[in-house]
Amino acid sequence: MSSTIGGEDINHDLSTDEKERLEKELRAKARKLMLTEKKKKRKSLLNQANEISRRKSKRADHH
Amino acid sequence: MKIYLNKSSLLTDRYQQILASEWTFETMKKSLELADSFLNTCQSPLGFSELIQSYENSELPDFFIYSDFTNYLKDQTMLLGSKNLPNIPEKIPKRRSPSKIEYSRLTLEAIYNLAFPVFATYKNEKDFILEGDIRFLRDIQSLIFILTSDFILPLLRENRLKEESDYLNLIMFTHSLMAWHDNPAHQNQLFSIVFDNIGCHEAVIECQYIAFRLTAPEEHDYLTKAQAYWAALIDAEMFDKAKEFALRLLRNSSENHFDEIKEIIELSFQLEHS
Repeated sequence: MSSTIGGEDINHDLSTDEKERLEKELRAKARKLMLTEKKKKRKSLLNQANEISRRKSKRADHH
Repeated sequence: MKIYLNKSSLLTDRYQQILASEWTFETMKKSLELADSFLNTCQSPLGFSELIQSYENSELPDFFIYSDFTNYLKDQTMLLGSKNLPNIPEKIPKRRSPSKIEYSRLTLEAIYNLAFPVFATYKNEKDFILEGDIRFLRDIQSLIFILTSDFILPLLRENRLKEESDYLNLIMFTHSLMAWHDNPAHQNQLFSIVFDNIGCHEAVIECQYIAFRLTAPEEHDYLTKAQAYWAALIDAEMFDKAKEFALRLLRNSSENHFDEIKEIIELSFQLEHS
C-alpha cells in the first residue's frame, strides 16, 4: 500500500527552476506564432506550458 | 474491490520526461503507455493492455458502447441540457484501413484511461475503490487529455471518424466535470479545450477567463493562463478588450513578468493592424 495516502507529497512535479525555464520558453514560442497562421501549434504550446506550470494534484480522492 | 495505486520513481521519471519533452504524436502514445504501466502495477493489473487481452480488437468498440456507463453519460449530458455537446454514438463502425483502425484504438485507449476505472474489468469485478497515489493518476489523465486533444482529435477529424471524435469529446467533458471539481481553475482550463474542439468559441473565452481569475498572481500558471485568455480575445478579433486586459495585467503583475507582458501589449497593437 502506498505510504502517501492523503499526504501532500507532490514529488512527481518538476522543480521550480525547471518549470520557470520551460514555461517561459513555451510562452515565448507561442507569442512568436501569434504572427503566423499556426494557431493549432500555438495553442498546443500554451496547453503544455499550462500543464507544466500548474500545481500538481495534492489530494488523494476516491473516484 | 479496493485497488491500491503505487507510483515508483521510474514512473515519476517517465511522467516528468513527457511533461518536459517537445510534444508530438509519439508523446501522446507515451502518455498512454505510462498510464498502462502505472495501472498494471496494481495487485490486479488494470491497464488497457490487460483489457485487450480479454477482447478481440473488433469487439472493443462494442464493449465501449454497450456499457452501463453510456446510460450514465446520457443522463449526465441530458441534465446539463447543452445542445452543443455531441451525442454518444449508437455504434462505432468497424474501421477498415490500418491507419483508421489505429486511430480508433488509440481513441478507445484514451477513453479507457480518462474514464478509469469505469471500463476496467478484472475477474468480473465491477466496483473498484481506488486508494493510494490517485493524484498521480489524475495528473497522468490530465496529460492524456491534453495530448489526445492536440494529437488524436485532429486525426479523427481529418479521417472523418465522427463517432470516435464525438465519444472522445463527451468523455473529455465528463472527465473535466467529475475528476476536477476540486480544482476549478484547471477544470475550466480543460472545459475550454473541449469547447474549442466542438467549436463553441464564446465558451472558450469565458472558461479561460474563469481559469485565469481563479489563479493567484504568485502561481506559476498565472501568466500562462493570462496569455491563453489574451490570445483567445485576439483570435475573436476583440482587440480593444485584449489591449485593456493586457494593460490591466501589467498593473497587477509582479515585475519579473513585465517584459513578457510588454511584448503582449505590443503584439496587441501589431495584430490589430496586420
